[in-house]
Order: sequence, then C-alpha cells, then structure tokens
Amino acid sequence: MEPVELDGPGKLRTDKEPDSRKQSHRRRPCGAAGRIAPVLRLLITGEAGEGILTAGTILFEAGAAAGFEASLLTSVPANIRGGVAHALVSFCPEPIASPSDHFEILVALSKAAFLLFRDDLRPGNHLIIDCEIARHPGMRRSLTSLARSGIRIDETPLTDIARRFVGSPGSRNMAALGISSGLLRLAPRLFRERIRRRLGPKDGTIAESGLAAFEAGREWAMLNLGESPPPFHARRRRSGRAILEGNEAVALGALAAGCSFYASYPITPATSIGNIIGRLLSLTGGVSLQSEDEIGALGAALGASFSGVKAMTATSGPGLSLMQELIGYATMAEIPVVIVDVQRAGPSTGMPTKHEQSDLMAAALGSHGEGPRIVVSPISVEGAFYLTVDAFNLAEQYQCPVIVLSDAAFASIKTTLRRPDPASLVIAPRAIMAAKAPAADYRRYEPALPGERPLAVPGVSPVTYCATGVEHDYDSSPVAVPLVRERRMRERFAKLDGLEDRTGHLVEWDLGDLEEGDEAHLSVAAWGLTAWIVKLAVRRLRSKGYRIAALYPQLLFPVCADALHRLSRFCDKVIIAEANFSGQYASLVRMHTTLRPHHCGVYGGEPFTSDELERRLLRAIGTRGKR
Amino acid sequence: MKDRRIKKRPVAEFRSGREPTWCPGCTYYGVLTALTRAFSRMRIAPNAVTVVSGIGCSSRLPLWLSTFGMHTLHGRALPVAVGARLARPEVPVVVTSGDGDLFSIGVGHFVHAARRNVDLTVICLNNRLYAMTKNQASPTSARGYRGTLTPLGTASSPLNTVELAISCGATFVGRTFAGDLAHMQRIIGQGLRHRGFAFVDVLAPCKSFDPAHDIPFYRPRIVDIVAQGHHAHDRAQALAQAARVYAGDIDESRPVPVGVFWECPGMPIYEEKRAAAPAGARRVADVLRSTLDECNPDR
Repeated sequence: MEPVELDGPGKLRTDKEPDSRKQSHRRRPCGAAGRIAPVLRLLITGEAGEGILTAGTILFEAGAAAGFEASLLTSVPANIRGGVAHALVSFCPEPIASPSDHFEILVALSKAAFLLFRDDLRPGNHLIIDCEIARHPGMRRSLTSLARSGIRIDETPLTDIARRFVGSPGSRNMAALGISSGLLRLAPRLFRERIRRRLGPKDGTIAESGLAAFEAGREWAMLNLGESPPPFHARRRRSGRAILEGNEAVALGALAAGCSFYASYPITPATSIGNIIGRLLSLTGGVSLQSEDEIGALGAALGASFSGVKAMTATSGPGLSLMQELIGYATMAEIPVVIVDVQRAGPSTGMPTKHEQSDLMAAALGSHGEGPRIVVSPISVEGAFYLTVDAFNLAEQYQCPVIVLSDAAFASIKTTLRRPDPASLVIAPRAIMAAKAPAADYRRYEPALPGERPLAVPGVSPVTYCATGVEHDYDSSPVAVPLVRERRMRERFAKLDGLEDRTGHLVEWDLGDLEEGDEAHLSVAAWGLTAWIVKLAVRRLRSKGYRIAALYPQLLFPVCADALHRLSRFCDKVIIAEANFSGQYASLVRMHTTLRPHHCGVYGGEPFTSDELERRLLRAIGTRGKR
Repeated sequence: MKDRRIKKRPVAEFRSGREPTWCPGCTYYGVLTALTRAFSRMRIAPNAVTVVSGIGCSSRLPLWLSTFGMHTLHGRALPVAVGARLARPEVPVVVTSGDGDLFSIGVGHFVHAARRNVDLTVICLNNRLYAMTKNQASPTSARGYRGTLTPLGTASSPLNTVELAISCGATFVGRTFAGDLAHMQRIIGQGLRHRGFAFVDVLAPCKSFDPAHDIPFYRPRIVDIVAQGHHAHDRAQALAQAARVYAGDIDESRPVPVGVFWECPGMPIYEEKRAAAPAGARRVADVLRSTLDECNPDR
C-alpha cells in the first residue's frame, strides 16, 4: 500500500464539456435544429427460454460488425422459462439517438408475444410471423384486419425449417435470425462465427443445427421475401469503437477509478456487475466477495474503505432498502463508498427484470436522520463508464456515500460507442496520511475543503481514530451537547456546499438554438435512461418548429437548483419525464427549487419510447398554445 | 502477529485517554485490561490493529482504545471486520461486542464469518442481557430470565454460543471469566495468536442489572476444562464440553466450564482467496485495455 502525499485536491474531470453548450452560441434557423438520422428497428419476440435474446444479440452484433451504429434493448420476465421476451435491435449510420423507440419490423415467434405487440403495429410496419401461429383459431381474422390497415405481413415457416434440422422446433430462433439476415441483406459471414460462439462448443451439435436452421431461414427469405435493407449505408470500417452493455460500463468504470474491493449479494439485475468486476479483480489482485446478504456486502465495503482501499457494492431496490442503516453510518462516520443501485420495478419484490426509476427518493433520503450524500445517474452507456469514475472521485473528495442509479433495462442495453479512454481520466486518489506525517493530534473530522482531508489508515499512518456512528467531535470523541451537535450537523451538510458549481460537467444542457432570454414552448428535464430516450423526442419536436429547452442532470442529489432555475427561465412550464408513478425527481425539484414541474411518467415495467414521449410533450405544449 | 523487531508498547499506550462510560465496578474494565495487556505482550502497535464493534455497552470498548477503531451498527461488526481483513490482510482485526449484538441481530453474520474461517478474533463480552437499553433478555439469558420485555420470564433456552461457534466452523473457541484477569489474558492472547476465526466468550456479569449473578456467584463454579484433561483438538470432546456451558443454570451444582474448548490450527483462512492470479497481479490499465479489445465490434 502506497501512502500518497497530498499535493492538492484531486481534480474532478472537467474535460468533457457537453456539446450543446458550445452550440447554443451559434444561431441556427428554426427547423434546422439538427438532421435526425434514419434508423431501422427490428423487434424479435417470443416465449422466454426460446432463444429470443440470443437471436437478437447476434443480429445486433452482426449489424455492428457490418459497420452500423447499433443498440440492443431487451426485456425478459423474471422466470427462467415462460412469459414473453423481446429484443429491439436498432441500426443507424450515426450513434444511436435513442435505444427505445417504435419498431418497423416485428418478428413474432409465439402467439402470446404477437398479442402483446399487435396493437403497436402501424401502417407501413412489417410483420413476420411463424406460419404455425397464423394457423391458431382467431389469428386469421386478426391478420386480415392488420393487412387491411396497411401492415405488410409475411407468414414464414420457422417451425418447419427448425424441425427439418433438429427434429424439434428448438432452432426457430435461428431460423428467424436467418430470415432477418436475408430480409436486411446482411452478409452471412457476419453471423456464422457468432452463432457458433454463442450456441456452444465448436464440435457441438447444437451450434451446427442452429447454423443449419439459420442458413435455411436465410435461403427461404432470399427466395420468398422482397429485400428490405436498412435505407442507409454502413460507415466504412472505423477504429476506436467498442460494444458495451450498461452493467459492463459501470464495472469497467469502477476498475478504471481504482476500485479494488467489491462486495455484493446476488440480485437481479445487478449480479452481472459482480460477475464482470470479480473476474477483473482476480486478475489485478483486488478482492471480490460474495456476502451473506446486502447488509454484509455494504458492511464489508465500509470496512475495506476504512482500511484504505476504494470499495463498492452493487444491488437493486430490495438491497438498497436493507442498506439504509449502513448508508447512515457511512454518512456519520464519513467513509467514502460507492453504491450502485440497478433499479427495478417495485415496491417489494415487484418485477425483478423490469425497468423503473423509482428508487430515487430512497437513494437520496432513505435512512433515518439527516445526512449528506450524493446521488448520480448515467444517461448513456458510454456516460456510465465515466460517471462511475466521477462517483468514486466524489466519494473520495466529499468522504460520503455516493449512490449511482442505473436500471434493469439500462443494465442490459448493448450499444456501439466510442471506446472509453482510461488514459483521459483524472482520478481523485485515496488521500492517505503518510507514515512520516507529524503525529500531532489527529482531528479526522475537522472541516476542510473537498479533497484536503487525508484519511489515517491502519498499518500506515502514525495516528489513529475511531470511526463511530455516534455523534462525535473532530477527534471522534462522542458528544451529545446541543451546541456541539448543532455545529457538527451544519458542518456535515456544509461539506457539499458548492458541489453544483464544481460538477458542471455532470449536467447536460440541450437548448438547440435557444439563447439566454429566449422563450421556449416547453422546458423538459429527464434523468437516467429516460434522458437518453427523450433526447430524440426533443429533436423531433424541434424539427417540427417547436422551441424546447432541455436539461439532463446526471447529478440528481443534491438537486442542481441553479441549473433548474435557469431551465425554468426558458419556459415556466417544466415537464419532468421519469419512469415512476409519483414523480420522484419532480418532487425533489419542488422541495429544493421554486419550480412547479409536471410529472410525465411510465410505470408498466418497460421504458418510454421516444415516440411516446414526443406525443406526450406535444400534448403538454398543446395545452399552453404554440407561439 | 508477534514480531520482536517491533518494540513492546506499554499497556497504558493502548488507552485513548477517554473516560469509559461503563458503570464503576463494571466487569468490562477487566476485559479491557486483559486485552490491552495481550496487545502489549504481542508487540502489536496501536496504529497497526483495528478493533471493530457494534452497539451496546461492550461495543463502546474501541472508544477507550488508542488503536484504530470502528464503532459501527448493532449486529454489523462482523461484516465490517471481514471487509477490513480482506482489504488489508496484513492488519489484524479484533471484534469486541456483546451477546445481543453478536448473537441476536448479528447471528447471521457470525455464522458466515466463522464458516469462512476469516482470520479474526471475536471477543464476546457476555453479560447475558442487554444493559445499554436497561435490562432485557438476550439470547444467552437463562431460561425464565425476567427482562423488561419478558416480565413473565423468557420461554426459551439460552443460545449456546460455544457450541454454535464450533459447529459453524470457528477454528479456535475459548471461554473465559471476567473475574480471572490472568485467565482472560491467556485465553484472549491465544485467540489473538490463532490464525483463523477465533471466538472467545467472556462471561462478564452486569452488576447493575443482574447483581444476583455476579463475579462472586460464578467464581466458585468456574472450572478450566483443559486443566481437567480436555483435549481441545478432539472435536467430539469439544462439542460434549460445549453442551455443558449453561448446565449450571438448571443445576447450580454443575460447574461453569471455561478454557480452550476447540482448537484446529492449520486450516486455510479466507484471506488466502485474495492471492493474485498465478502469473502475478496485472496492471489495471493492461486489464482494461485487453477487456476493451475484446469488446471490439469486429470480434
């Protein structure tokens, strides 16, 4: 363990200024607020356990390898078998503006899956459905009525193809993949190796019969379906790109930030963060611990952090509930720690695999008593890498718990992105009081500027202290005298003074060509995955002539009041879009600013689509009148 | 843990200078003395050991020491201590806690820490009640104990912490008595020196809330089982002796056994899982680079 001599406060990364801040100084004519790139979206769906995700993932990877920018958004039920699963694959010549939007092509492998999406089909959409399903009673009438309303329908012999090769319908997903590849005119070489890799060992029969079903499906499509390739070209091969999944980006960000201790308890949908970081820490000599429960996990992370290493845990809503008492301890004893909450639909067990953004209140305020903590949430997969680094930096600088909010859909979104650059990072080091430091009275809790309060660490520092959860004075002695207690409470909260000013890069502005003093039709704020999705809705509205001011805070708590007040000056009608029932961020904004935002929510377990957000924002504008 | 190159610190150097808030005459003062003497004798430096506790009278102990300390939450000393050990295996960690903290709210964590054989010394200051909250029954209270929340007397037998520790996989289990300073120092010292999960149950009565069962009450009944011929390496014997730990509650003529019940040296400790990969730890930057290489869309 290397003690670090402090040479100044660790700098928070400031080199990632949001692009829109530069753009707002250029006047652009209304209506040309950025060309919106074309996107092709295919949604494949069927019974969970049938390999829907495998087919969707391979299609996504093949498109990415072909040179498209691509994203994959999946949804599965909580069981191992049964229920409906779906995968939405999006291809675009430019970085994906939103991973969640209406599909053009629907590939349905089961009746239940078809029924779930039937009402979403629109004129001009293309439905590909297994012949077997089309034969079910009642289906004929359904399909005829869809065809009459302008939906192109192709009944495809997926089951027949699959049966031909394995003697059972087990490879229908691969047949569907083949049909998709034929329809989209994506080269088979992009698929073959990926199919082999995903379906098992090279000499396995599962991979070979899957491959055969794929080839047969593709051949059938080439012969029987008109081609329907993406209406844009893939970019020429470019370097510096990667594919990452939401949870993966968080795990890699933590490693890059210097995290060397990870403790967790398995919970959907956070477990894979531990799978990934555990493997990596075993290579770098760090520690990954599976604890007996979430309380044990956070407890271990705090013991590790006290002992001098950067530590983290990841969980979901139920785990966050269990951790509340220890979050309070970390706040009182001022121990740096990062807690990732991959939110899922609640309350209680809820819907463990489904998207929701309903833990914000628990993250910001959960735990008895009052104490400062920081809550952040990424708005893109690439952003999740860098924001996790920010979370560790903030924890070190402010010596408090930092909670990173992700969610069940974001966790498994895969997307092509600019390869993260660890070399560009500024890491706030763990400030350890060195062995040679003067052994004067050590006042661990004496107020100081962020990053200027070194920690004494066992076995290294010449001075000691006791990290107690009891109210205490600077040298950690317990106190219960009112004047001292009041001072200590103010001092703890004062630690976060100026946080908003120092973390400007954590708030993304999207003003189009609005300038200070302009009036917008609407002001919009959103966070987490919803922010990523609403961006496209905002761009579409701008292309139709509406002036929208948008704010996407990655710093959620403490509330960035200055930014929100600035947002409300563009339009006093402020909509906050978030995937919860009660408008949690909207409530926090009401608590800490003069804004009276309106809540725009979803809480069915699936994310917003950009499409739906566009309609609802338009409705909100409509009730004000267009100027 | 003992290294003769390190100078021996005087016992007084381990005290923080804060006045303990225990009642005058509390038996815990003796435990504090025994612990500081054991630290001194083993040439541990105050800045090279962490003492972790939960909540309760017993758990105040780290505040009276000049070592590193973590005074955590009720029942949560053990997971914090496990994290500290895994993060810094070169720093010894001692847990000082009470019967309620370790075996009521904290019993789940105790089971798993013992099962993993984390190299820890867990000292239970066992007064068989909750003192901080003014006299409730604890899991180790005698059947029929009348605490404020069990005014008709508890309807359950005491949890046998010695038996539990042995069955959960602790590799050193000892019991001692607050009325015998030398014995405490010896058993605690053995626990500190043991490499693995060491549990030391200290029978330390509370003079404020259970004056009837004080040091003079227990002293004539105390018997060291090793002095009587117990073989601590024999698990069957250990469990047989452990079963008798609270026999004296029912039949006052039965002895109150103390001493080393169980010792199983040489077992692998949980910290060993931390060893770097066979080729040695790789740099984080290298691991990140090769991981991101694998995320190339062309692969």
